[in-house]
Parts: sequence; structure tokens; C-alpha cells
Amino acid sequence: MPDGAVDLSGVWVLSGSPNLSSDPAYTPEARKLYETRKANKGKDDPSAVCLPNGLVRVTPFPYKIVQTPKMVVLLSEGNTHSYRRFFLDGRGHPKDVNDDPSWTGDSIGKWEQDTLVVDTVGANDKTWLDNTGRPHSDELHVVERYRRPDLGHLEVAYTLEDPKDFTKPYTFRRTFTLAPTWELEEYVCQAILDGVDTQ
Amino acid sequence: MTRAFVFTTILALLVVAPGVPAQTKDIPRMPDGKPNFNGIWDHPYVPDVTQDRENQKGSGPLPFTAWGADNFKNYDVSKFDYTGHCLPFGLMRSMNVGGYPIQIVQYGSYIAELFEQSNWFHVVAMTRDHPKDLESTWFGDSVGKWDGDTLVVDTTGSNGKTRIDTIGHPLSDQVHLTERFRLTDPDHISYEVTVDDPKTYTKPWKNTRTMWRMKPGQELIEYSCEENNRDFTQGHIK
Repeated sequence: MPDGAVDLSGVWVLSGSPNLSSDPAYTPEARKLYETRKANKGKDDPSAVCLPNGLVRVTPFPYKIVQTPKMVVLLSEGNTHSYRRFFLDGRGHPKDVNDDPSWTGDSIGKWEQDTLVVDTVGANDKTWLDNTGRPHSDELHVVERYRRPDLGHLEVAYTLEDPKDFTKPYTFRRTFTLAPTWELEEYVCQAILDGVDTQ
Repeated sequence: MTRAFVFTTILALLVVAPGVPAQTKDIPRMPDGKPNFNGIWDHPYVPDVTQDRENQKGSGPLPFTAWGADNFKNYDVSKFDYTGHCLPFGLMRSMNVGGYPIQIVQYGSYIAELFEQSNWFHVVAMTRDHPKDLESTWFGDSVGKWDGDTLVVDTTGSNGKTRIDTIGHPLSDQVHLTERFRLTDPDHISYEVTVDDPKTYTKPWKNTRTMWRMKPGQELIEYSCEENNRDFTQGHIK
């Protein structure tokens, strides 16, 4: 970028499974909730009724990163066709961020050399960590480290802390592949849900 | 401030003032010199596109075709409105809905519009034309061009399932929208939309308005249409 930051912008598609490869170290209560969700076979899945995926769960549909010096935006084609904003202007989290938790929380970012480090708190406990229903609480604290190991790949290293639901932090990585000729298409969860003919 | 400086400034004002053209005010610009629209913009509520209201000039009576007049006459919000089902508002109604600002993110070859309404987004491509085999969508396909300092966004490929405003003025899948955005000063955008829809209206018509920058520290807030959509789940709307 003109300011020297690594250019993360572009259309990116997840490589590999959207699901976590192992369980976080759950407390007994969180474990029980996970087992209930699994037994229900996705009946309580918020995304099935077009509610937001939140900040950890991903879809196989492409994402687009829009990057300006003071804000990076992650656009999601799938799920609610919505956005997450990472504020890079040096602000902290609002003091009252946990009073009114939101679906995607509050995200602030900063560059550490060529890695964009995004810190998020203030998420509600309604979203799932993945399609299998792995839970988290409203005390979830996520640090994402975005870097571009080569031109065609975006690597995101996640550290999840959740003092209410986890007994220790959980870390994992995802890799996304650049789709240089793609654009995001319109994806309307409600149209699929309602059976509305969009053609 | 020195006396000489004050004198020079007054002289400069005297010399410049009589012939000030409309665009002399400094506006923010991108590194390439194009106007910089990055920011969060509020806009007037346009519940009825024909009417004048604060910060906007309505189109006046609309030149309906028979199809358009019939469609409007039969629109009954108590029977069905797509927005109650959390379906996408479409570009025109997203610009017209009241109380929900828009964040413009301008970078490289695209401009992204983040709507607070439903937290939906729409991307305007700046370096290509409309695809030949355009598939119709709720928001249509938008391409942007610069006309001097004016950003001109051209949109086609609507699926015709959306409406223009809250009272339900119709549009069809033949609609062609031309939006013109111009910064009149750092904190205001002059916005003009031309609606050309030969199936619904016998000739193109316009609505113009002013958008204003929100104060520092104000941000778009979260809007989940599906969360607690009680009007729908409790049967107040259909």
C-alpha cells in the first residue's frame, strides 16, 4: 500500500474445512451445551435462520478484504452478506463494550511489521465457533493475526480466550487462497430460506 | 498573526470572492487526486420520492406507464412487503430509508458501500463495464466512473423485486439508475439519482438531496434484521 502496509485486499476463499479440527478445553457446562447441539443435529443453528455467523465461524463462500490506512473491512458473500470492520486508527475498545454484546463484537487492529493483528471483544454468546455448534460465551476474546506468506495466500492465526467456557486459550490457523478474477456475488440467505425466486 | 498577513488575507478574499465558483472549497482527495468519499454519511429519509422534504427535492408526480400505475395501485403493505421478510432493500430503497447511515469505503478499483440498514454491503466496480451476461440481483450491478470531480454510479441488472421508497413506488427489472455523488465541501455530498425504467415510467425522472458527514466518533451500529423480527413472527406484517 502507499503507506507501506502489506496489501491484504482482494477476494479470498477458505482452503480446507470451515470446522475447528479439535475441541477447545471446555468447561463442563460448555461441553454439555456442545453435546446438546450435536444431539439436536443443527436444529438450533443460528445461521439456518439467517442470523449472523459472528467473528469466528466461516463459510465456503468468498470473502473480500477492503483496506484503507485507518480501517480494514472484511466483506462476507455468504451468511448474512455483511461486514466486519477493523478499526486501525488507534482507538481502544469502548468501555461499555460488554454492556450490549453484538453479533460481531468490537474489533480494533494494528500492524506488527507485516502482520495485521485484530483484537475483538464484546461478542454475544449466540453464535457458534463452527458448523458443528462449538460454543463460546460472551467473554470470548479473539486475536486474529492476518499475514500474507506469499502472493496467493492469506494466513489467519487465531487465539481464542474465553474464561467462562474454556479452561485455557485455544489456537488454530486458517489459510485462504486468492481468487484474483472473482468478485463477490449477491447471496441472500432469506431468499433461500423463503424459497423466493430471485431469477 | 502579523498585520501583513491579515492584510494579505483580506486582499486575497477581496480578489477571489466575487468570482468564487461552486467548487473552490477544499475537499478531501485520494493520493491520485480523485475526490475522497471515505467516511460515514447520513442522508435524508425519503419515504415518498415525489415529495420535497428537508435536504431533498422530490421528483414531483411520476410519469407512470399503465403497468407502473397498476403495480403501485395494487401495492398493499399489509399484504406483503419484502423488507418485512428481511429480504434485501435494493439500492434505491437503501439510499431512501431513514435513520440508517452509509459508510463509503473508497480504495483502488472498487468502492464499497456499507449500509447500516440490515448491515448489507454493495460494491461498485470502478474499472470495468457491466458484464454482458448479467444475472439479475436485488441490488443490481454497479459500475462507477468519474465525471470530473463527480462520481457517477451506473446500476442495471435489478431483479425488479424491490421498491423505491417506503410508500412503495415500483420499479421493474428494466430499471437503470444513475447516481451522481459530488462533494460540495468536506462534509457534504450533493446526490442526484435518475431513474430510467421504461416498463414502469414513460420517461426518466430525478430526485436530488444532500448527504452529510457524521460527527467524529459516530459509527455504523449493528443491525440484524432476523433478530427479534417480531412484526413478522407475530403476524403484524406478511
